[in-house]
Amino acid sequence: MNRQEIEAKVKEFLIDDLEIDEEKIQPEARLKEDIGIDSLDFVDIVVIVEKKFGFKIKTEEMAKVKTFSQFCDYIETKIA
Amino acid sequence: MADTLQHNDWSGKTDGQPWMQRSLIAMFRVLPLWLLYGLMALVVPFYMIFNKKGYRAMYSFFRERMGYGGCKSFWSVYANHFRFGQVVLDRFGVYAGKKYHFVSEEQHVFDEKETHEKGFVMLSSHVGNYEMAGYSLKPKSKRYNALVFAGETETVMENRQRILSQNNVRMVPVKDDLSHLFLLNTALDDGEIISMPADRIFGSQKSVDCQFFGQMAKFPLGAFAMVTQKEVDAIAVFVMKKGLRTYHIHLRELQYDRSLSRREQMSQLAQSFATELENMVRRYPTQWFNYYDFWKR
Repeated sequence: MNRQEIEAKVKEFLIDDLEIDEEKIQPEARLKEDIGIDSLDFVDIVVIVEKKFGFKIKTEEMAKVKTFSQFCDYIETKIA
Repeated sequence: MADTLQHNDWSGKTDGQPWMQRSLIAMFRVLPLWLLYGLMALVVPFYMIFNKKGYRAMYSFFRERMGYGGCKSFWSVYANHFRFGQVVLDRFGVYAGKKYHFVSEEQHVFDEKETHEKGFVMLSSHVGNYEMAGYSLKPKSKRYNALVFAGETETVMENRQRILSQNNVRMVPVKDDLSHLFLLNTALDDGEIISMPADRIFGSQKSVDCQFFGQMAKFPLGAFAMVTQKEVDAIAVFVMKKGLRTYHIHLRELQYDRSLSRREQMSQLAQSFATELENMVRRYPTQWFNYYDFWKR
């Protein structure tokens, strides 16, 4: 899966499952402050990422992820 | 659905300084339970006077929700504060080694769920004395992970940990780094039991509207989101005080239609929980311990 496909998949579940407005999802948008993801959404993210990308998110790794772009970087690294 | 909930009037912490709590545990080792209850009965009126917000919320609960008259409501507020004091004292009684008696006609619900490979979720609320469930519902094979407020005093946390660890119960404190969510998620994947409060917020402000005592009330979405996302079973657990040293454990299996959309599943499950909670509160009205306007819009 290439970078563009990862971004498209992440965008898709943020819009469809978490009901995030598409225009909020920008590369440098911060997950919490700009996109509006809260702790409850993280429950969904953990499960969806596992289903769609086949790995389990780790707390300590996710703590470093602040923006949409970093989140896609993180997934890219894990599935590489 | 997914409105925000603002119940920030609640600190989530047991009252008293650590030294006071340690002294209470020491007193429990030498004084009988009835004497401590008696002393507390004298303190309750002062608590009612100084905790005005709690008094008003509880008086309004008895007047408007239970339909009591003014005089009965006043005495019910007293009885409610007395009951609350008793359940807090009982927790310290357990820490001091006092023995309590637990009765349950629905133990089979818990036992049957434990035989399944999949994990399940136990939903708690601020009625009765839920903490006692951790001391009485002893899982035989699965680990039981209880989500707890991280801001409790060391005395409370140490004592809880000491007793709960003997019963295969792991405390999972709510943390800012959201590690509790990852832990709970993994626990369910491993087929373990998790327990979460379903009537107060513990992080996300998202909520779901449910019919509760004839009016819509907001319930936090968290526990219902977890259950439906992981597609697991849920049980509402109520541990209600019945006598001096007796608690009655009520277990209610909650149903939700898994063929519905996720949003509808969460709503259905939340309403199922709210209905069971209302039935329980009607049965034990003085054991409703949410000291704020639960129906505030």
